[in-house]
Amino acid sequence: MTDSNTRFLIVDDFSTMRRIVRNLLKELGFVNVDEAEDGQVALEKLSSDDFQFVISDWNMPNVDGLQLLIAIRASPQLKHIPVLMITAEPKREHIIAAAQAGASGYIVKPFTATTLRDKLSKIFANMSAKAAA
Amino acid sequence: MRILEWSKGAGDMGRTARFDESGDSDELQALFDSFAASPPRPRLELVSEPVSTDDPNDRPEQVPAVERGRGGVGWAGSGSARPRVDHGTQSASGLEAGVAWNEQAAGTPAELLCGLGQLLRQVYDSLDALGGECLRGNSAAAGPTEVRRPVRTLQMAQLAATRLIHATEAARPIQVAVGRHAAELGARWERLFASRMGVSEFEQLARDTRGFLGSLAEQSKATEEQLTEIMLAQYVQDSALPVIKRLSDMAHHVEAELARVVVAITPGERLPDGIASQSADAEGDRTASLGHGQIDDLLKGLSF
Repeated sequence: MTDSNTRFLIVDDFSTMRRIVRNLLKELGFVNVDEAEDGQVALEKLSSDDFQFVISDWNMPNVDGLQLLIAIRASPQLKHIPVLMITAEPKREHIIAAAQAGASGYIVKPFTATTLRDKLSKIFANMSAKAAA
Repeated sequence: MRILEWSKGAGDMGRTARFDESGDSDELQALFDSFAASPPRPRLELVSEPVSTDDPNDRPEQVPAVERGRGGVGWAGSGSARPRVDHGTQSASGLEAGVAWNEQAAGTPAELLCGLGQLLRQVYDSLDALGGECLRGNSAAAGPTEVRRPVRTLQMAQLAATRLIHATEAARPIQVAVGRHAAELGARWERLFASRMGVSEFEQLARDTRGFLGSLAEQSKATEEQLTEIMLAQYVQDSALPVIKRLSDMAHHVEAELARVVVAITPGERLPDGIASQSADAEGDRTASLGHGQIDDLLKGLSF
């Protein structure tokens, strides 16, 4: 069960990828979406606006995805926001680093709407389970 | 507030193939879940080493501190504390900023080795920068991994081109069939409006039209999936372009630096005329303006 009004922040330095993720989210029924081109801009937007979900690329200039994730988890105001990390390489050390830094999930590029839906669904299910516990 | 409820269905075309194609797997997901079960241990402070260079690629890895002010959060690193920019979108500035071959000091085998070592370091650093989202500190795997990463990016670009063609080939027959079916039904409806159709034939036309409209939604969805596939393939192509550019820049730089090495250890009288004469004009830097063609002349002149 998922709220289609969930406000997403897509963080990626490639505008093509931001458009792709935005379109895939739209395909899944999520239209409340904003974008940031790197982790630094994302942190600024997160501090000034209300977001319920962050989808972030790993490799970005200025502040990369892992550093953004760490900053989010260290912030009392933001630490509750689920973060889905996008990685270009399905490497074990990446996956472990993301999990240890507090990522809510990961997704490997290139991916489809179905894969994104499955990953989001799993995160929302985990959140529901935590809330019920 | 609308609530979405998702369910997996048979309509998830090609899910398994694409899932595997990305390199993701159930095993990786299980690995993630096992580590995610542990509470996160974020590092809260910047860990800065004394920085002795302005080159951002020489700076140590940093983790961000959370800056709390007016209820907000932000990146607290500044200037030299910024994390390294590690992107294929960079120019070859890393190479250009590297230690240049000192031809005036060259001549002995030790100096030659020093120059080649510096060049190798620049190539290594450039490949490292091409690597993108790599984890640092894995020295055992660093060498071959650095080389594999750009190769993998280019392999993915090649794969994306194939996917793009497959997606186009899959979408085209769907659209052709829709167009053909619509034209055939349209012609029959024209006959109806021209009063050249009997009742039983009209009943069949109504059934066929209903069936066609019913199938349109499914065919439209199938086409949309192929368009998404094309869009994703385009992203992979986009991301490969900076890698190709950087590799190209690096190749040119290595060519120029190796030419410097060759010129520096070659006696002036043995150099081709055009290159030897440059030594008088260029204040010791005999390869400063060597182009690709001149390097070819240089190599031919030295019987390479």
